[in-house]
Amino acid sequence: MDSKVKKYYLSRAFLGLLGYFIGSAIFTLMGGSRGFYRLLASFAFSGILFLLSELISAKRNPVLKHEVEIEEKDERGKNIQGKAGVFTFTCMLVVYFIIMFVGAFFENTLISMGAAGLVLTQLIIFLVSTFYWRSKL
Amino acid sequence: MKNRLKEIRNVKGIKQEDLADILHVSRQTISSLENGKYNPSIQLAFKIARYFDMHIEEIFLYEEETDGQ
Repeated sequence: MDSKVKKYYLSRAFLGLLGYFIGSAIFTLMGGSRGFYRLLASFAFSGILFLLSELISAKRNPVLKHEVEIEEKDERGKNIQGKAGVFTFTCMLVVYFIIMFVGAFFENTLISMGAAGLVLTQLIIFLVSTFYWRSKL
Repeated sequence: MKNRLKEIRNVKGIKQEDLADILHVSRQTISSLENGKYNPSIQLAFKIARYFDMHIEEIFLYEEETDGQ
């Protein structure tokens, strides 16, 4: 990945995060209560900031936008994403199993059952998506 | 799978960046192909062959593994 494209992705991630905190701060300063609506405001502000930066970037530097598009459609990039996805899936299963056993060890049913639920959900999604892609490919 | 992409590209005097732009892939993909780190999809192999006006077999050299795979 070129350094300009890397900078692009890093700046978007940073702006998304910044927007989240600004949104949260504005909502609290305006007297909003904690909870779901604050989260909604944070995500909304994050999305607005992200979209604005996308629009400005597309106008200012169309070449970079083109490079990002190529990067996103690049077959090697997709291959890498697939491999990283499989690795992440396996790692998450291991992490959930560890949490499950830690929960069981400390006799915390909520944690162990929660982790077991996540393992089950992840496996169900995996099986359904495998079935879907088998019918498609 | 080995390939002669670097050799052919150099003969034609095309930069990696330019070839990547023509094929709509990243420069890193071209670099990885040339270094033999990445094998292209059949679609990309055809695109490369068409661009250089050659047959796929002239660019990509398929070699069977020792265990017959």
